Amino acid sequence: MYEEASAHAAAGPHDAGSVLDRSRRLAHHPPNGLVADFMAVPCAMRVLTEDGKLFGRINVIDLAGALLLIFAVSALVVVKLLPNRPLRAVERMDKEEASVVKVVLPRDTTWLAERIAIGDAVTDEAGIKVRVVGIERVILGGTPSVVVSFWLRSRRRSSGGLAFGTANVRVGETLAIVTDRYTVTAPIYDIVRSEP
Amino acid sequence: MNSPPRWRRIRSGSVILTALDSGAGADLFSSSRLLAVLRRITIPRSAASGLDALAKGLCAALVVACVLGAKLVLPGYPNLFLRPEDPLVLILMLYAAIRRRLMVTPIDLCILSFVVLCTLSALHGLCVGTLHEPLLSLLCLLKLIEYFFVFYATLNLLDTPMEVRACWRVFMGACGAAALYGLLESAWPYAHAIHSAKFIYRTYERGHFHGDANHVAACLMFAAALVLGRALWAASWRCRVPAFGLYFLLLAAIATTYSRSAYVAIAASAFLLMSLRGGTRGALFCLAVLCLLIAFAPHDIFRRMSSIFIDLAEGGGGVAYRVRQIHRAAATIPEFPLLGLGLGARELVFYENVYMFLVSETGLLGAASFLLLLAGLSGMAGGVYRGASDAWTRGFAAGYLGGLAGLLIEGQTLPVFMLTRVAPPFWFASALLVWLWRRRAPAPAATAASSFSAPHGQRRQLNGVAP
Repeated sequence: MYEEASAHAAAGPHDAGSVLDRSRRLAHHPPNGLVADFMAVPCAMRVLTEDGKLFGRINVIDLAGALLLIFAVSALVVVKLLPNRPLRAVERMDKEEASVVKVVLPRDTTWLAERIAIGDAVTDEAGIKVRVVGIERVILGGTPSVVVSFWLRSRRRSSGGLAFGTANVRVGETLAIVTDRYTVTAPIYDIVRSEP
Repeated sequence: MNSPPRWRRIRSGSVILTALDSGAGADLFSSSRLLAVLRRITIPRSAASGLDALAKGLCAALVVACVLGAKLVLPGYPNLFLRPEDPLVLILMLYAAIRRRLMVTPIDLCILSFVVLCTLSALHGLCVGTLHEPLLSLLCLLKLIEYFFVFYATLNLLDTPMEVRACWRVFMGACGAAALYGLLESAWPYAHAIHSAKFIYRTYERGHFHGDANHVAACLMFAAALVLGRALWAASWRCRVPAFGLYFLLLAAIATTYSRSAYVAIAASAFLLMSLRGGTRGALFCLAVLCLLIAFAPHDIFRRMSSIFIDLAEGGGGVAYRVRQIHRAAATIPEFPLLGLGLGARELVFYENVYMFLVSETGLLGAASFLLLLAGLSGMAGGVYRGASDAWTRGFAAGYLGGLAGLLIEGQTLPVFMLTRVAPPFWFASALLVWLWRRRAPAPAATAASSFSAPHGQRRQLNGVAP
């Protein structure tokens, strides 16, 4: 250990001083197997000097603070002044996003409303997938219609837009819900609410 | 000449700490111009002790708020909420700025390097166009700094071993309360009334907690490992019985979360702790208990465990989903190997693997500095465990090691060290560990300036008022 100190002392006056200081300190606080032998890493001093500065120039805390400030200012500038800047596509995963979707039963299947009950659900291994949350009789375009609201465990595609299974959840698209007792195939009239 | 044999140094765990400690620990704080500005504010000596007590109380309240996960939803704005820990952290930061007392540790440089590298990665992401929402990235960075602040605030507010134990009790009390809440929710699942169909009901996902059950399970798993350490190393049955009681309460609450990774992590941490305590006999006993638990586990737990291998093409969960995720994250690593895409380039929910998160977003440099930080903490825990003179300290250090091992396992399925529910309690417990290590180590960080030398276990002060 002390031989190592001598070897490093020969490297130069700056290193020699610091290493000898350490030797003196070690004499007061000899290592006991738990405490680090600080002389084992003289190379670290070249990056971080004895006065806690990076390459002898800037304190690491000051550097972190300065970088944070630079980033905060740059972020604000970019958001305010460069909203249409060129961006690289970063691939993401689809994100689960529950939604409440209203479908209009086709005129020839309005009788199905008698069989559908609020609370009917479809489950899978991860829990509830679909649940009926509302049945309304409304006038749409001057004709009486039946609107059924489904809570769906849908997902937000990384490319944008909602999806349920492989189907897109968009107004006008046809949604097919299959339960144990009935199947509903109807066009989406509205996407009322989506929860994070 | 007097250097110990190589094998002994490796065994003692000091090699990691040696590598971490640059020898300039104290001067990291003293030579900072940023901190020098804060040092100009002074508070009256008479008010110091009162404010100290208040800050300690707030620090305890902070960890309770983090564990219990209270949210104050603003009326009329269901998506806007305030967490009690946010104002608490602000108050403590202000107090720390005025009080300006800092205890140096060998992991300071690692923490600072990680923060610097994360900021650099975010700046890099901004330049190369991978950072789509820079303000979210800034928030992510501030959250990370907040976690480290919990560590420093706790570390520097502690004065006596009694306070360390009190902090531990507060943490355990909060976890016990959260566990009780989970059991109550499980026994009377009000969500069943809303969702009429039968399915595996996971606690902590609805109502008060309204989050991810896996996050709470990870926090409870860490607490369970700490309390098991306490139970196994307790000096008397009077201490052991309540500790075991709390451990089983936490286990029951974790069971209701149906968190598969928490099950694996809790088994691994228990195995590690039993092996540490009882050697081969302890390990065999642990295995026997685990076999019994598996044999009598409820059917729903088996159902949940078996779903690991079900590939839900459209949604999350399971091995297949995570493999797809890792594949996508890994695809960007060769493009930006050193600094990554930038912290916050993807939403956090993308990553269900902390290691992939670190490498992909902060690059190899950021990941290396964070892993070195964890290695330093485990080295300290090992040091405290070996050198502890009392049963409480030894139990705490062993429990911390078990909990850290569990979190590293859970890191395969969650970005554990970045989660609001897990990271603050983890750094809180880490501060207790570092305080204990600092107290028993013969001035390990007193390397830079002799003016900073203080008797072991005493606080170093940077121009602050005397305690």
